Amino acid sequence: MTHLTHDQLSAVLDHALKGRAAADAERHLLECATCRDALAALAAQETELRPALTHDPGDAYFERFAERVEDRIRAEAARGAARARAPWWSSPRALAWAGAAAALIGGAGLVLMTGREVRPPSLRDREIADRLGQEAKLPFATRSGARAKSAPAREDRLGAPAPTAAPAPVPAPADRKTRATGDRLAEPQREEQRQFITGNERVLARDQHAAQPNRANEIRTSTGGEPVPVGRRAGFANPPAATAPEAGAAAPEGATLDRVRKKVGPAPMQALKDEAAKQATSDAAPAPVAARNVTPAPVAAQNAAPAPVAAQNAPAAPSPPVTARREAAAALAGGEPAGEGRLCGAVLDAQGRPVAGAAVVIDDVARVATPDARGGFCVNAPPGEHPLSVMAVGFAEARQSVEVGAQESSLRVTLAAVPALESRGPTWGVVKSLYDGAPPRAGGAFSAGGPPDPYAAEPDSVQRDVRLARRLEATGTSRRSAAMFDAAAGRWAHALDVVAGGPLDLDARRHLADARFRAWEIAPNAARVAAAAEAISVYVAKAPAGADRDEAARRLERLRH
Amino acid sequence: MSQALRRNPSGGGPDDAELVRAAQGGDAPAFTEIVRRYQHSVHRVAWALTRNDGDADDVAQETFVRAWRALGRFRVGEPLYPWLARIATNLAFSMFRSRKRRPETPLEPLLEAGRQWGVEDDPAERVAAGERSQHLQRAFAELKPEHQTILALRVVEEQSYEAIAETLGVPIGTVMSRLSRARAELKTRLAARTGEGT
Repeated sequence: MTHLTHDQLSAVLDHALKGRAAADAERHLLECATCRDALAALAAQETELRPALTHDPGDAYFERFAERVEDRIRAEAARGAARARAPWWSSPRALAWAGAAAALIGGAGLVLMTGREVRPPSLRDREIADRLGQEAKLPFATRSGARAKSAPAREDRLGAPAPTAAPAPVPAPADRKTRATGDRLAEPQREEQRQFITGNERVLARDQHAAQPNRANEIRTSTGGEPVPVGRRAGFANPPAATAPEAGAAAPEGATLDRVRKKVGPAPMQALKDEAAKQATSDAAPAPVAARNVTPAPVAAQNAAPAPVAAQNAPAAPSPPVTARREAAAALAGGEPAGEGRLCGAVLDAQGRPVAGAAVVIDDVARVATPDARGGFCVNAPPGEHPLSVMAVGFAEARQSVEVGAQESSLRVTLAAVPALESRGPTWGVVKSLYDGAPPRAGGAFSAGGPPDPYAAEPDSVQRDVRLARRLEATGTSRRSAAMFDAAAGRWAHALDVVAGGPLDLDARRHLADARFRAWEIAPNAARVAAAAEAISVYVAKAPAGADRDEAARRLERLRH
Repeated sequence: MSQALRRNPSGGGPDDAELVRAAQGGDAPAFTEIVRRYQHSVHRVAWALTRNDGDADDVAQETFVRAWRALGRFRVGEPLYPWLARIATNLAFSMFRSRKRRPETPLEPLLEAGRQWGVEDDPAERVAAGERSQHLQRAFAELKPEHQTILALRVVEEQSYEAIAETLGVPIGTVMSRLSRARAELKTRLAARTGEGT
């Protein structure tokens, strides 16, 4: 019996066979148990695959989706209009093209000028001509093939008669001495001579290398694809050595962290932290932990609208082991997790949905955790009572006192939404009509009034990161909290993942460098020095000359001394 | 929406061709209606290919932004969805190419409604289902982009072979054979992960 092919089974599964082919396949399946089993297995795989590839973000997501698309289009239109108004030299790309064209023209001119053959006047000095003639007759032991080939042409240019058998080179200074002692040079002497020349070349190369300008402003690309400065002083550029091994040792699965290390390589701490966090969440499993009461603390949002934040009993609070993230944060904070208590919990909104991407900060010991997609987080802290802050874009900041014991503690934080935070200020608020009637064919499409936010045309994920980073910076400034700036830097680095190489690349790098530096300024430790030096070095390498770059360079000097 | 737009006789609002024509003529709310009409489908394709909320959101939004830019070149009367789905799939894979990595390990399926913490279902069953789902997603992520795309369109969007052929710009015979290869490849990779016989 000839079984159905995989193509046929696949088509049967989709009811895609027609007419006689369908009837034949159906008849065969009635008779053949093997093919029926194969079809059943295919159908089962399909059934499992569908939910694995499906996710419903909920009605709330789609309610504002069209509006967000409109915002994007309008912001792009505004940016395009601004570009059109600006003179051509204000565009870095246009400048780069102009520079490249100028370099090409200059290079071509140089080649034309230097490549033209100029015949010098004939040598009239009989003595020199005679010497050249004698040299042409001398076989030279150490002559290289290349020299031998180049010699006739040179002699021809000099007007001397061309040799007929052995073309003579124009000897190098070292060669002259050899020739003076005779034309047959012993092999050891020739070897010694070669070594002498090679040694001179080495010295020359070393001198040239030493004469190179400081390479602090050069960058290379790390294995993680992130630009990393080269030529930095030891101790600044390298990421903190303790971070990766610690994270690897404490991770739920060694293989996971190995993967993280492989992906990130020896490069930036932030990349390691982010990657470790992402990987760690994939292995997270809910673990029942002892619940305890925490007292809710009313907090004031940035717009001065007080919003109560309820922290409730958490009978089944999740505690995914976000170990890698915690360790990375601990490394930044200079803390040592050993012997400390652990606080795990979940950050949820008023409807009980997880709030991913919030920042959970234990202020006094500068520990930061970022809840995963389930809203779960874990953070280490010394036993005792600590002030805890939880912040997320679109929610009022939650502040409360938590007690960390020797045993693992758990809490659930419910964040209250702050609708006022969703409004985007007067610049965007004035636009009433979404499209202002501009058709796509009109070339401009959407129009907008006022200067646009530079990040308004970026994807929502970037805008969320930037908004949260700014809030964290504001809070970090008011409370002088290094942990807040660490968290803000994390957000900028995350945003940079998307905007890198684009028009906002430099702006995001400047903010990242600033946040790193300010974290170090408030609570210096080795990890913060390294992180700040790296971020600032990259910024300095990429930034155009100006006040910002000068300030960054000054900061770099401060870090180094 | 402009008054000029006629309602669809089926009662579902103006048809796509009218919306496209209106949007091309400058009726911007018509484009908003197109977005609303296809946002779920486009997001489903985006999520199936990225398996990550943030990336899916970016891809879905960008799909409509690109569609707006190119709407002037769209031929009225052609089906809209295959065009949008093609933009979404191209965007998803160009995003991964530019990042030089594949989508993150997916988490969200485990968070489907009713499966959050505190729900009283069998924890062992939940863990087993979660593991199986993770294996499937990882096996899926290892497939070639063309195989991922065709499976997403067929399995998630349940598109017909004809619609898939239009979306991908390939003959129906190619759709059939590519789907078959994609399923076979997925089965092999899943078996390699779970240790089950092929």
